[in-house]
Order: sequence, then structure tokens, then C-alpha cells
Amino acid sequence: MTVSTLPPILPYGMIVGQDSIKRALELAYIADRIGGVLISGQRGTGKSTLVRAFAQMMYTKPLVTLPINATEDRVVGGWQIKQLMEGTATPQDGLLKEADQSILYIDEVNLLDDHIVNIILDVSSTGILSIQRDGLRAEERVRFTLVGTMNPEEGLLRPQLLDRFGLMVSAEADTVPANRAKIMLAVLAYDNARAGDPDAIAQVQQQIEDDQVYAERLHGARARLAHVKGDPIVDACVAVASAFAMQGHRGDLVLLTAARALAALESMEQTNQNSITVAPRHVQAVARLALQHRRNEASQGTQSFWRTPDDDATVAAKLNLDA
Amino acid sequence: MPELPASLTRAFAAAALSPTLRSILIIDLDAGTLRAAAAVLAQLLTIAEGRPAEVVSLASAQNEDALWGGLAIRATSQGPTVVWEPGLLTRELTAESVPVVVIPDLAHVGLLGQRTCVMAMDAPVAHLERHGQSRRWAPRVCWLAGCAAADAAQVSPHLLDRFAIRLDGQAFAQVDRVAELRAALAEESPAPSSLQLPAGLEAMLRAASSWPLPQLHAQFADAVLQLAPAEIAHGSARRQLALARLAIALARLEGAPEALPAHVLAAHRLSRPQAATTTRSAEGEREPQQAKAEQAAPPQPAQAPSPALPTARAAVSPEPAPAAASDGYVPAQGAPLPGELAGGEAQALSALNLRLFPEDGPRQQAAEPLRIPPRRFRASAAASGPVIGVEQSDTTEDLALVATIVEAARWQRMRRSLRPDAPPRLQISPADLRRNRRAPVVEQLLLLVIDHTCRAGFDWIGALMPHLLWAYQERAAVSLVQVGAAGAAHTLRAELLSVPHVLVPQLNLALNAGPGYGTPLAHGLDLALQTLRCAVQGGRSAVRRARLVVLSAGRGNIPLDASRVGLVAGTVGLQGVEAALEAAQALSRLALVQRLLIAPQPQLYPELARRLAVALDAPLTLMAPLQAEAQP
Repeated sequence: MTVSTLPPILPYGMIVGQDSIKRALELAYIADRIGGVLISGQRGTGKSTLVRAFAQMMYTKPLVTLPINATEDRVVGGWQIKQLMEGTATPQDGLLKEADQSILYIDEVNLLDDHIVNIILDVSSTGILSIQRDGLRAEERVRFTLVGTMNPEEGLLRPQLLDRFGLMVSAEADTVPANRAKIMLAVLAYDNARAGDPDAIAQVQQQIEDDQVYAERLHGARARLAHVKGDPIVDACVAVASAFAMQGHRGDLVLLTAARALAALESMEQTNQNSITVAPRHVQAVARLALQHRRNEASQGTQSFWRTPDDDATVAAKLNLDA
Repeated sequence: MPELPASLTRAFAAAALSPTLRSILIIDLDAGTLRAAAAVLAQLLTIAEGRPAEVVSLASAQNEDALWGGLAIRATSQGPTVVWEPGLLTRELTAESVPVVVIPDLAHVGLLGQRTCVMAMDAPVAHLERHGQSRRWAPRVCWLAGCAAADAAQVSPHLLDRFAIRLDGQAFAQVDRVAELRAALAEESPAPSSLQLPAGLEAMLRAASSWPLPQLHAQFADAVLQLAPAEIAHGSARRQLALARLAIALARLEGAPEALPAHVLAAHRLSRPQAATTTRSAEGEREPQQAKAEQAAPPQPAQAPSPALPTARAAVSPEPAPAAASDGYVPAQGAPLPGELAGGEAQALSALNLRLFPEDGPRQQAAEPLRIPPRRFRASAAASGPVIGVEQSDTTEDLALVATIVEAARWQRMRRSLRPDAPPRLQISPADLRRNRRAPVVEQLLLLVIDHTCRAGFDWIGALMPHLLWAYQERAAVSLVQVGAAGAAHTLRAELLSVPHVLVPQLNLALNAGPGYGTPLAHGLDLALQTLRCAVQGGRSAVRRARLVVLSAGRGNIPLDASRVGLVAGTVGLQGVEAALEAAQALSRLALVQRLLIAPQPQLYPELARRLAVALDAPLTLMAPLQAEAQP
């Protein structure tokens, strides 16, 4: 590997900490039915880097990114202007189509224009991309995992868009000095690799190989998901969601799906995929991710609210587990 | 020609050497000098990159097409044709040069500029998805911004955090003014002010680019953590990374084989010229001598490390994987830091520096863009409104290209028959031009926070009427936060209703709702805060002025946490009142918002309304009792 072939983002495995974000992204990959992940957090917590690194590890094509200043023709699709000028009408796929079967990433999602938000909402809720513009008429099925990052200091999301994200993670800065030092040294190592240091390049190369092994594990978990039956925890999911006065059933469903995805991931330690069991402890592990952004929709004033340890205790009590 | 001050010289050279440091903010530096400094920075980048650097100004970009590129009709020898023209930030896609983007006044760059900076600065990959263009590239842009110290606190912390290097423009005040004046007299040139590249710097930069990267001293990370602790910058890792990168770059410039804690201290001092001079540290005194030595001859790469400081590359080799994270770096807990970092000076240096890092203090609102004149009426269709169709146009402004081309295509057969000798390209005539029809944008907002539990027996309609009339006259959008209204979905929570104008019947119904059972005033004010932040700051909002009218006696009785969770836990006491005052203080810090408090004439606890008015920083108006109507 040389400087020119180094990936543009540091490898996933070099990112220190932020385990909740990692877990949420991995679960959303294993079970794409979860719908997406919203990562909300203060500045400088590595939200965007982590998403890009995850996509770099899991997908062969570049991460489809929707910048906040994207025009509508690039979001839904349009004509190739250059070809059009030469008298040939050639359609050009939009980002929603490009993201089919992978991630659609929106950095600073809370700064997105309302009319683009409306388009995304329509497509993500129906699974159908309908193009009716500039004489172009098409309708296609698309399915993508919506991943957004935002800094809540700059404003919140519309409740309808918030609801499209199956899981929400509150990214918090790690303030433990030892961990801060590890973060810093990892980034500096990657800097060195970019600057051509052979030792650092070798280190990054090794990490990329390790990432590939881990990606295989996630692929395997995704394949096993169908073997994880959710029946044993249906009642538990409903009990937990009811305890937090969820509106609608999306919270129950996401909770159940995320718990199954976690069970599938953990089962990669075992060889027999027919004996995978999902348990209340899996529900407990994903409850906050699935529920924290749904409980306060009515209050509108905050988009994640989780009281530790009270809410953790509520979940544990409903599942008859230790907090 | 004056020379660039030493602190700026070192910082600029470091930025030229390390692409991750190419976002520089200088506090209190006039636009002319900033431009001259940008020219020096461009020279250094040209040396480091081996290709020309070009200075461009963000102030000249009026819209997103100017920044990111857009489609335009251009006349060619073969007739008019549509071409994509790159903008300021996408020029690097078609040109070989490295752009140095200068922002003369960060606080007044406007919403568009701030959004652009947040998107593009410190991003490893840039994305362009506009007007049929889909590009991804690793940006090489170098950012250089100026900002007045008094205004810096109004810039979004989110944006400030992206600047890797902060410098104080006061460094220019230390330049020898007499010598500068004499030099200006001698030159008697009307040319704009320019700065000279310090002698020897070019050779030093070239040498530093070729030397091997320095290793990290065993206590390098500790030094960074000590001078940029996690508690500052609200835990953002960028601050520490920037300090570490700057220290490494300084070590490279010196030709040091190892980046030492002393380099961290030197990097830290670049942002603290005052601390360096007031403490009269050994480093501070050494700087001028060192600069002179550098001028005399560029340093050699093989400087021996301090014998007192062990070289321990193995101990600090960067973290390979999460799996190995637990057994990788081990901080030297309690170990004394070498030399100058120990003692009271380190404590002084790690104190808050609100002048250069205003985001470490209390948050304030982003500033109003000054260059865009405010429009008064809602009927004006601003270019920022979403496209809702196309219409015929006689100019090329905000052109709907595809619609224009489609219109032209309809007439091609006829036009070709009239001009058989024309080149085989699309023939466009002015009659084909179509521009975007855009939805009108709301420019003014009336936000009412109404406490339904305090107004019985008072002429609240008379008190609110002037504001409702204002909203009608100005075609303002209206948001109503109902506090303690009868029929609320949740007694512990306020409710928000947003309508596009004052004549929506739903608003009238909501205003006339009777009193409920609780007064979640804190939650109501918090909702108002979120709403105003979104309206004035968020997205491409065009709201230029908002009026906040709070009708309340200040007697909130529900804590904010209880509203959020939907459950009152324990004794409430004064929590509801105090949370409301806290939210009111946050509201008082919003720019572009005119505030007013309307309270009933005092019967009980009159001081609560006064305290609320003070917290809101708003005039207090008293509602008259409805005695005439009440008495038969």
C-alpha cells in the first residue's frame, strides 16, 4: 500500500471509543429494516468520521452523501445536461437511487432544506422513488439506510424526519484522559501514513485487513438474521415500549428488530445458526437506541432524553433483569 | 515592506507543511492586512505544494452557485451553449492551483457563508451534488478568516471549532511601527499593503518537507492533554488534535527528530501571545533569537534531542485497533512534565482564552448577515425559496436550464430548416429562456408564548392586538406556544402551533382556549427558544426579524425535566420558576429578536414577573383588569 492508495478516511478499527455509534451502525447494517441511524452530538466527537469509516469498511462503492446544498435534480434524478445539449436525452440517477441497497448519508441533517426533507420522507416511508420533473417520468423501488449526523446546537429535526431514523445515538465526548490520548494518537498515526511514513502505512494496512475480517463477521450476521426468531421477546418489547408511552408501533418494531440483529451479531461466536436465541438482555441493550427519540415527540422541545439510571432501571424492571 | 510577525510566520509555515492545519482564524486583524497575510500564506503554500496558490475572497460570493458552481449559457463560435462554470470552492476541480479562501469578517459572512464553512472546512472528502454535477474529491482549500474579538462570540461554536489554528491580530501591533513608517515613506508606493516573507523561511520550509517525520516523545500526548484538557471546548477532540498537529509541524520546521512537550508548549503559545509575554518564559525569550538564527541559516535536520528526554517511539506508537486499545498507550499518571510545562505557568496557560476561543464561554447567537439587505414583504420571491415551477424569463438569472433546453428542443426542426448551415448543436434563442418560480419565503415571525392560567379577568386581547396587527401588516408567520391551556394533550407540557399567517382560524381557536391545570412555563419558553433558533439560524431560513411576546405572570410551577419526561418526581418547589428564568436568559441572548413581556397587574408574587422581564431583557407591560365588563 502506498500513500496514493490509502483510503481517504482512517480505518474503522482505528477509531477509539464511541461504542454506541458503532453498535447502532452495525445493527442497522445487519437489519436494514431498522431504517436508519441518527447520530446527534456535540462538535468534535467524531460522528462524521465514524460513519464514513463504517461505509468504507462495509461497501465497495463510495458512500452516497447528500450535501445540505444539493439541488433537487441531484436528489431525485434528472437529465444529463451535457448530453441534452447535444440532442440526446440521457437520464441521470439521483442520490436516492444511487443509495439503493446501501447508506444515504446526510451530514448536518438538521440544516437540510425543508423541500429536500419532504422528498426524502416520501421516498423513505413508501420505498418508492417517483420522478415527475422536467419531462422525466419514472417510478422505482429503492431501499436505503438513512444515516444522519447533526449538532443539536444548530437546531432540531422535524418530528416526521426524526421518526424515519430507527435508532438514535447521542454522541458524547470521551473525557477520560487515557482515552483522549488514544484518540489523538490514532489520528496522528493516520496523519503520518498520509504523509508517507512507511511504519504508519503498514499499521493502517494491517488495520484495513482486520476491518475486512470484521466486515465479514457483519455480513455473516446479516445472513443469519432470518434465523433469529423474535417470538420469545415480542411481549418484552411491547412491555418496554409501553412503559415509555411510545406513540405508534414503530418503536416496538424497531426495538424487536434491533434486538434480533444484536442476537445475530453475538451468534457469530457460535457455529450452529439454527440455535440462535434472542433474549430480554438483547432488548435491554438496544432499548435506549430505539426509544430515546420517540418518547418525547409530543413535547417537541428535546429530541433525546434518557435519564440514567432511572430509565435504565425501568427497562430492566420490565424485562425482569438487573439494571 | 513590513515583515510578517513571528507567531504568524510559524503558524503559516506549519499550515503549509501540514494540510490538516489549513484553517486559520485571526482575531482582530483588519481586512487589508488579512489580505496581505493571505498573500504570504499563498506563497508558502506554493512552496510546499509545488503548485501555485490562488487567493479568493468568500465575501464576493453572493449565492451558492458562486461558491459551488452553476450552469450558465455562454456564447461560443458555434452559438450559445450551456456550460458548468466552477465556483470559488470548486475551482480546484478544473484548475491546478491551491485555493486560499479569505473570509474578511467571519461574524458577518452570513448564513450562506457559515453553512458553506461548516460543510467544507475540515472535511476529508468534499461533495458537489448540484445542477447535474456529481463530484467527490479531497479538498485542498486553505481557509484564512478574520473576525473582530467583539463579534467572535456570535459565531456558531460549531463553525469556530473547525478552525485548527487561532491567532491574535494584536501580534501586528508588536511590529516596529517607526521602521514600518519609514519604509512606507521610502517606497512612496500607492500599492496596497503587503507583507514580506521572512528571510530563510522558504529554505526552511523546503527542507522540512524533505525530512522524515518526527517521532513522538513519550510525554507528548500528556503535554497536549495538559494544555488542552477535555473540559474546554466542550470535549471536542478537534482542539487537542489541532494542538498536537501544530506541535508536530513546528518540530518538523525545526528539523527536530522528535516532537517534544516543548513543541506542544510552543504551539500553544502561538495562540497566547499575551501569556508568552507576561510570563516572560524561557520559550518566549528564546523566540526572537531563534527567529534570527533561522534567518541566518536554515536549521539542519539532525538536531540531537535533549539528553534529559528519552526517545521512546515504541511507547507512543499510535493505536492500531480497538482490540488493542486496552494495552496501547498508557498515560504517565502523576509524572512531572519536563521543563517549562510544570508549575504554575502550565496552569496559567491551560486557563480559558475567551478572546481566541470564545466558544469556551457561554453560547451566543450567530450574527445577521450584513451584506444582504432585508426585504420587508413576504410577497418577494427570494432566490432561496424552493423551486415550485418555471416561468418565462428575459434574463439569465436563476435560470431553469432543463426547462430552457426542453423549450428550445421543440423548435429545433424549424430553426434548422431556417439555418441549414448552422452547426449541429442545439440552437437556443432568448425566447426559450425559463427561470425558476420559487415559493415565497417568510421573513418575519411573531412568536407568542401565552400562559392561559394567568390572564382570566384581564384584557389580554387588547394587550395582544397590536402584535397581531403587526403580524398581519408585515405578512409575518405566527407561532403560538400555549402554556397551561385547557384541553392540552399533556398537562405538564406546553404546545406549539405554527401557522403561515395570522388569519388561520386554528390560531384564533388556540388563542381563546381556557385555562388548564398546570403552568409549564419553563417548557413553553424552551419551546420558544428552539423555535426561534430554527427560524433565525436553521437551514436557509429567510427570517430577518422575529418578535417574541410572552404573556405570563412568571409563575411557572412545572420543572423542565418533568415536562420532558411527562412525570413530576419529588418536590417541585421553585424549580419551575427557576427553569423558566434560565430559559428566558437564553432567549435574551438571541439576536434579531425583539422581546416583550405582558403580565397581569400584580396580585400575588409581583416580583416574579419583574424577574422574568429582567431575565428576558424585555420591557414589561401590564394588562388592565376587565373590571368594567365584569361588573354589571
